Amino acid sequence: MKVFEFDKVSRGYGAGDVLSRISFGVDRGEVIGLLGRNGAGKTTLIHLVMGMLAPREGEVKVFGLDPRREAVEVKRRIGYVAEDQELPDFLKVREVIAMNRQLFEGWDDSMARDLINRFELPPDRKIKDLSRGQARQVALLCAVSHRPELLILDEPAGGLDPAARRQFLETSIRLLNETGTTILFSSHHMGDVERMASRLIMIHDHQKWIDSDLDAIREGFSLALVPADAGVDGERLLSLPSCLCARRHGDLFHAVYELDPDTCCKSLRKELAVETIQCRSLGLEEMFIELAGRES
Amino acid sequence: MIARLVLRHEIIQNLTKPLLITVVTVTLVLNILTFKMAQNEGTSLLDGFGAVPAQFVFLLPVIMILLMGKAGTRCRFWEAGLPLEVRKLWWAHFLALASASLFLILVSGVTFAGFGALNAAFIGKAFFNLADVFRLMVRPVAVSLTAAALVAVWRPGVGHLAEEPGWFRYRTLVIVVSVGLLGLLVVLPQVFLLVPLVLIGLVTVRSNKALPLAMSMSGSESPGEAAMSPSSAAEKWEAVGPSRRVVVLVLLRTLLKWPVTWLALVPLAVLFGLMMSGRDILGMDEPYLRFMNFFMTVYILFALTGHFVKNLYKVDHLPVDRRTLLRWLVVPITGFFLLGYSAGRIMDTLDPVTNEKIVFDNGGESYGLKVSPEYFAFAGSDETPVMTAPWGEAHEAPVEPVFRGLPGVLWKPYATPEGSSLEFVAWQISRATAAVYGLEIDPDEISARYLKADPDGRVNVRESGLTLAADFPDARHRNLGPVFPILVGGELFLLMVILALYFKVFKPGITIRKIQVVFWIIMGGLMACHIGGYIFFMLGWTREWVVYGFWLGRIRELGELGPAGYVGAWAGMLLLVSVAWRWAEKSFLAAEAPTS
Repeated sequence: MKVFEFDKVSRGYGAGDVLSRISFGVDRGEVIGLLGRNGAGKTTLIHLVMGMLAPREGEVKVFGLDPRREAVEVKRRIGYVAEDQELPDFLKVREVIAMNRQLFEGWDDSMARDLINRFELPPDRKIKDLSRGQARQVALLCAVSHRPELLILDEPAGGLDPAARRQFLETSIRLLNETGTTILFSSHHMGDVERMASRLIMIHDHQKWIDSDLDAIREGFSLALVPADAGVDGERLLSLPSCLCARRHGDLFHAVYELDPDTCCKSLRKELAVETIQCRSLGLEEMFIELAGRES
Repeated sequence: MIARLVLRHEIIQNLTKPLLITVVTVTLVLNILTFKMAQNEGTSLLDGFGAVPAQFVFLLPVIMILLMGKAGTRCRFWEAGLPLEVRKLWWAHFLALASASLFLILVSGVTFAGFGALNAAFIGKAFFNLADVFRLMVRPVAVSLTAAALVAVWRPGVGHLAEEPGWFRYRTLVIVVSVGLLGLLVVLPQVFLLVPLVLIGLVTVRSNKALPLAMSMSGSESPGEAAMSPSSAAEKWEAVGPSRRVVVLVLLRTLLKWPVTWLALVPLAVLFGLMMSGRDILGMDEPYLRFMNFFMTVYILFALTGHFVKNLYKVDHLPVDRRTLLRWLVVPITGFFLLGYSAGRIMDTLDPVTNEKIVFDNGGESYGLKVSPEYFAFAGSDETPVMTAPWGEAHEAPVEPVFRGLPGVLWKPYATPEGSSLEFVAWQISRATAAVYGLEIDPDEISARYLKADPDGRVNVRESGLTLAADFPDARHRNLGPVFPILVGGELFLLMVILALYFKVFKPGITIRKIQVVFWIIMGGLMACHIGGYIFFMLGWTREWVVYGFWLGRIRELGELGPAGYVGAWAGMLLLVSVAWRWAEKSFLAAEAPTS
């Protein structure tokens, strides 16, 4: 059984859709990095998994359940940390933890205690008196200490300094992924995604643009640099098989193909009869900019 | 620049809650004051007892601003980071505090003036006109400026006053001083208004001299500094296990965000419960209030539930059943309302009202037997009913349309119109005694004890009066029937229906701002229903006692059916409220948390 599954799910907030007919499933133990520009629908997708939003059409299943109808059952099995998440700021750290302990079955006291020590959290200080990073650490502690089957991190490290961010994410991974917990996280930090994720889903133009293993992305995508004066335009490049996007950068057209660089180069030179075409693999950040940064 | 800072200040940006409480409370107090003025045949609020409480009503906004109006934020981090002199930030806070208080006082004044205008237009009694309102506002305005100055003088170089130790005590002190100062100003001659003005001047000069070069944002500036060492954290850490009830209370408080608003309105819920119980409160022996405040009660209950649902997003990710949240939102405040109602009923049981419910009026135009309106009968058509005694004497009964222009009248089955014979009057009193007190008294005995014929043949009561309740210890007011299930059930039903419709607004794409607009539209609708009732009375389209008599009479008739009537009323109420509850629950389950 999939940990969660989207079947032709659409969802919007007004007339249009933010997500349109998206389908995919996630297996146990996968670490999914969710990418997309601001407003692409990452948080909407996460809220659909949490049952906090209902799909306009299609079906969302989490642990085989409807997260809207079986909201409590589903949320009990999920750990959730979001950038804009508000903890009850009038409570002390220990009280927030105690409250979550009551809400979530399977709470692991030793893990909570271990994290308090590791993060050096002051148990008797109120949430409102903590720094941003400390508050995020409390949220993470609450999200992982019941050993959830699915951990969802929505821009969890936004606003944290690089060291705190790394500590935060690595703690999440180490604590849970080794026990088979599935992790879904969204982030703008490509480095974090490359380091953590085993699979990447990129959302763009309301659609699932890329859904692939990270290794496959590194080896299976390439950037073609085509001279603009070679008599080829963007539409011609886009019409070729496996082309994801193409646009002009000064004297060159940049086109991303779902092919390895060698195959891509041979194929393009043959198809377009331009010998000066160059192809190379591209990093995640570069691919994100090429894909998400294009004019849509 | 200072004007821009004032307009963007947190105090100005967070006026909604103080405004809500101010409007509700001022309207309520005005209801009571005008009612008392009308009862006491008063002519002007300034001449009567109402002037003092009215001035304290104007002080309420100041207290609200201090308690929940972000008075403790002198400036935020981003403002402290702007290339501005500290003096400007200090002035912005002082002026924002003063102008917010003045704005709410002005809103109260407009409400007062509106009530005054309504009174003048519809019943011809201008208890207070614009000049009166202005005079009532002078002292509270002086006190509010003093309060603002007292807040401004406290640690003038600190940005986050609310995070300073001692803020809570100092704020309480300012409130106490404000109340005391107004008390003094009310009794002292107007020349003493100069005292607060001088005080404000001194405070301003002193504070400006004490300002540092930069605003201190300590308190939340370096929260991480005092982090404990791992070992000490481990030593301090003890897992505590609160009950699930405590957890839900925490969630409730998270929803309420600032529980002072909620707590400040709770006494109103209790007060309205008392009023709905029919108990004589605040010296107003006026049973009509039960029905006249039907919509106002729902207004209060909705204000204390609907306003906070916008914070749903704060707890939506937690595994807590929405049904539980709804229960915790609605049940406590309904409980406070029912507590007031129960207290009223208990007081009535321990200290029953023993006034005569059957009186005989010897006066000219209002001559005849009078009973409480709940004993009036209803007729669906406009035909005048006839009261016929067993021996054939018949008189047309006085009638009053339930609502002008609509069919249906309320008629007085125990009336004794001019020309009634002594036997007829005795027969009517006997019937009324049976209906009102449950006592069977022979008409001849009534005739012998209480009645006489005047020389002109007119029937009248003897000098000792018609003292049935005093003369017959067994005379007890009969139960008015299943009032609680119908009156309170009706209010809860309406509340749940409104909540169900309100939750429907929580749909994809809705923002907190739009939800607040809808909230205020509903509140405005309920207030319009409340005020609309008064306007109907003032225009003479219906009358207080007719509304009261119509509803309570029908409830009383239901009670006269015996247990079946009560069971039917309770079952009907439970069914309606539970259906409405289920609908509200369904709407709440489908509701999506709004985005900011």
